[in-house]
Amino acid sequence: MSTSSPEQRSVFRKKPVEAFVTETHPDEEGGELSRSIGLFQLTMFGVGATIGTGIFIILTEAVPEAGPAVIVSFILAGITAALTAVCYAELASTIPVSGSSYSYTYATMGEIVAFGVAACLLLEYGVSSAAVSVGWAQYLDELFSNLFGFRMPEAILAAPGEGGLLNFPAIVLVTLCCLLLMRGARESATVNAVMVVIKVAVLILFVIIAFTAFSGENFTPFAPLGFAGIGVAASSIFFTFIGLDAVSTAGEEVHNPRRTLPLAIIFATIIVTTVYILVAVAGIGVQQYRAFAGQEAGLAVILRNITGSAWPAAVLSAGAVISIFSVTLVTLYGQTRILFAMGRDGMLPEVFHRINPTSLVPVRNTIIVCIFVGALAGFVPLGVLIDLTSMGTLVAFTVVSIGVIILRRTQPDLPRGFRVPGYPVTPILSAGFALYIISQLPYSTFALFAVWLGVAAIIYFTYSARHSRLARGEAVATEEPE
Amino acid sequence: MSYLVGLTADRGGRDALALGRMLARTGDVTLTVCIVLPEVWGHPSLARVDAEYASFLASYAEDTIAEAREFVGDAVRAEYVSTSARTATEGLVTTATQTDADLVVLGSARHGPFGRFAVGSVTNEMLHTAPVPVALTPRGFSPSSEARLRRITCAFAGSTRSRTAFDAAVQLSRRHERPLRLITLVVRDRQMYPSQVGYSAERLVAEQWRAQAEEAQSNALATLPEDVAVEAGVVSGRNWEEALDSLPWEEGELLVVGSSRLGPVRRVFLGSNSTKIVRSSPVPVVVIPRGADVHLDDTTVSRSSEPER
Repeated sequence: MSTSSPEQRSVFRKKPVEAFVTETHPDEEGGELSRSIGLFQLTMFGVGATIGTGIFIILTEAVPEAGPAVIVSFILAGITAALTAVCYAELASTIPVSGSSYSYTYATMGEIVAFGVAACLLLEYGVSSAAVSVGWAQYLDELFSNLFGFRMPEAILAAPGEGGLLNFPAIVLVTLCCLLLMRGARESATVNAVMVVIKVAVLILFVIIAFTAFSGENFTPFAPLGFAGIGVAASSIFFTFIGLDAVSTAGEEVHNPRRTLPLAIIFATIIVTTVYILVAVAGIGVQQYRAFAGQEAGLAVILRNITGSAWPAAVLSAGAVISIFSVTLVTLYGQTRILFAMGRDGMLPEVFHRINPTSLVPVRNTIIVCIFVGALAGFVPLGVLIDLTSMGTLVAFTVVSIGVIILRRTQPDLPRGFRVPGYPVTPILSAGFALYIISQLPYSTFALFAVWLGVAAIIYFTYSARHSRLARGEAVATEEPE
Repeated sequence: MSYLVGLTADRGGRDALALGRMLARTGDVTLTVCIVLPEVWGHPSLARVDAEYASFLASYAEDTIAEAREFVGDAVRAEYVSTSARTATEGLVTTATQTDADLVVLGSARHGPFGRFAVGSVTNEMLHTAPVPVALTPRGFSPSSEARLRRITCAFAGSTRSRTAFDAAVQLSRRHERPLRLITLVVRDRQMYPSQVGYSAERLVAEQWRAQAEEAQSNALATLPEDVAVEAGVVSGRNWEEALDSLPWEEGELLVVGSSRLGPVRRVFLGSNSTKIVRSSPVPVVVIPRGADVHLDDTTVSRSSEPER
């Protein structure tokens, strides 16, 4: 298969890799950016982007699904995440552009698949930032309660499906992040490091305190719901591993990517999984697995129950409030830039890639994203958001794993900064694991996902297929680089 | 045309004077060099201490003005005044109104690096209240005594605000009969860490910004009268300073920037980008007030202006 001109008419048209490269490296002086990210920093990026997406809220959802065997679920989800991250890294190093798996798919599997992946990414980024901000709302309430003895009324703290009217704090969080992004605020590598320290510190605090009330009895029966339960829990838990892609996409700015990338992925996965499992073990050691169901701001509540005093819960809540804020900022940012890349390709209206001359930020794009995410965060129950996020992420990752195989066959000579070790076993395993976890998601999620893809298909065929710059023969090779 | 120079007896005042002298060598410009003195009591005070203070001030002003006169020399037309006011800003604004000044030239505060401008308290107030463009002189600005204005560079972002700056730059360029250079700065140091969309995401944004800027530039240039020599370009860098330094600068250059929104809460005159440009510029910067009368030139259509206090 080659990208010949008759193919331009097909919805499977592919954007040449060279076109991507020209678009991001037009000016020579900026082209060879310093390969400045080292192993330690990259690992920190992975840990920083990952911890905080879910561990503060996931036990409530996952432990009742699997019982103490949730530990196995964590390992399963961790392995899957690491395998997909490695595959992701190969594509990212071959097609060094932003826009993440959307761009990779555009180059390997064609436009319509790319659009579908973009729809999945909207779940991975947009919906996950909504889910994360709902968790933030719980911890904010817990923090207020511990500090001031004040609780927000349920009506403004829960989505309509969960007995409230709207989730007001979650909307506030999205608005705050929106304002920051519109002003061009950025999280720097230093801030990220500080965030990592805060997150890990409060989680370790939790583990230490929880171990003082540890009871082995809570671990029997180990897997009350059998292997099925483990799979179901893993499918929810996968949500907490989102963010590992922060490592994979670093390809061209990394010293010696061949060595650094896989090591950083492995180290980040090990650190993250270890922390998660410690938290899970400590939590289960304190209470029966059934007690987790419905616990809001779960970790803080457990601490309060053990110690009988407010301060450990307050410290943990404060840590959660600060670090979830930064995670929301990073994910929202990712979402705006994916839509930006799509706007550039003509898949979305011009409004998504206009830049405000004052802030030098795609302001309208950011506003649209934040309204969408804010509405989700305010009005959709947390469980639904989490499952949808896992769904979107896993589908995107499966496509990426398959994409590695496709690109190796169609364009074997393309320079690759990083190659998947153990090819072809690794991408096949990766896709296999991801598909298994997908199969464990509840029916309702599949239904919602189908609706979502349907909406995406309508948008694609009514707008994008006609406006695609590739279809109109524009700009594939882009204007001459100056 | 009349340009007002805010004179102080320190290095900053001397720098401002040097800039005023340079500007007045071309075009039909008269300098008004003004020293602002503290107000003294109008009514008799105990033992006439205040009168003594007043006479000290008068001789101090005389000395400073004499020095300034010597520094400027006879080659340019200049008047020297001293005025009393409660604050330096008030004195400068009043004098600017009285002399119908078209530009106020100020020196830098003492903090901040040599060769760049640092906003001090008076400049800050002037930037919030001045009805006319303000020229800011970098610390240690010392062109040769024969130096003339050579080229006007306009920092252009394509917004309505920079449109005012652009007009003002065109007028300056016609008045002084100097070529105009239109530049847009592309700054790339805005990457988010960590990022799930790759660490080159902001380069994509920067490229789009470059494309938009070039479009806006050609739109602006299309409206330009024939008699203005102009060049245009986009420069990029990892930060504002690097972007500005990547341009070739010669002696006798001037950079023109627009000013920012006038918010309801505080009348922030210099926006965040303009602030960064002012701080990073290696040459004197002229800040054009938004919406104020840009009557740098006789032929200018004056814009709707809100009354400035």
